[in-house]
Amino acid sequence: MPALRRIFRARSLCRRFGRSHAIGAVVATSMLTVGAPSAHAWVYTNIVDFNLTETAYTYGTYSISSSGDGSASYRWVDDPDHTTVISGNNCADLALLGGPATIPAHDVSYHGLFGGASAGACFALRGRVATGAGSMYYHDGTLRR
Amino acid sequence: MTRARAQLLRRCAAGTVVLTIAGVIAALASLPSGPGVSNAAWAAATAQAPPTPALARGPQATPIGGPAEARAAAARAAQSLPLPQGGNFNGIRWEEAGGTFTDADVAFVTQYNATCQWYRALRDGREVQRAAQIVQEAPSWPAIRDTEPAAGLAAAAREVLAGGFGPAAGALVDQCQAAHEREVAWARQLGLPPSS
Repeated sequence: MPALRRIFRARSLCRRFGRSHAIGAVVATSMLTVGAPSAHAWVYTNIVDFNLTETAYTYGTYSISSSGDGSASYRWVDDPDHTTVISGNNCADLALLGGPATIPAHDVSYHGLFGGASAGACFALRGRVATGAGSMYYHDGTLRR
Repeated sequence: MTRARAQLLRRCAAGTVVLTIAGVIAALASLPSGPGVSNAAWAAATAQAPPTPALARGPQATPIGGPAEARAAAARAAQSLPLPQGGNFNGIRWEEAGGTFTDADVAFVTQYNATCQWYRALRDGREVQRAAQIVQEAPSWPAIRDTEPAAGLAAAAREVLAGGFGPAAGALVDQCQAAHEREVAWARQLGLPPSS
């Protein structure tokens, strides 16, 4: 009987111990998530074959998502071998939104195009290579908003 | 007592480690994608995004030239697109955007701009009946219907049909108003009459 009691007691302790550590793990997980730099549910769009010359052109038109923070950013996903200039322009009047992003060659990080837009705001994604850089074909990117 | 606790710790340690690792993995998976995003995560995220707008329907993406050619094409479009009284496309900033434009670019910008002019007319009580009808048609105009922003115009149109300016139509008309103020300044700078 004392042996059985010991076993039950050990099991009970282990359950309590496990439960408290499980709670600790959940709390740690939550803290990691809450502490993330930006927890927005971005909308991403593949930009395939954004072929650029030294003259700006429009790739497509997009909308600011309701789950982001009102900004739009762009990154190249394959190593760009030219410096590029990417911008967002208002759909109704083509006014430049924010400043165009100048993305150095070989930079694959996100670059902000503009911020402070309301959900649904329409913009045209435009781009070119830097003056004197020639042209850049068949490179892909991601638009985040 | 201390020995018993040490035994207990050993027994429960494996489970605790597993739980903690699972928690950290879950936390990392929930972080927003950054520059180092994996191809799988990128594909999964983009799979949920609306498709890239196709310009195959409606106007074809044929280059027509620079800002001067785009402005001339927009002036021609003003003859065929419905606009409120006093409407025009003089304030579109082709010159500020620069570069090359296609037929599809001009068609999209002018059709979107015309939609904005009708939303402002509706808000201001000008040609209300016609404005209410045109904002319903605009999302299916040839240069707009296959693009991502068509969804926003359709949402705004539904609110108008339901009898008022809800969040989508309200936000749209605010954006249109901001664009119109820029257009007036640009047209005046070029010595052209701005739209009403």
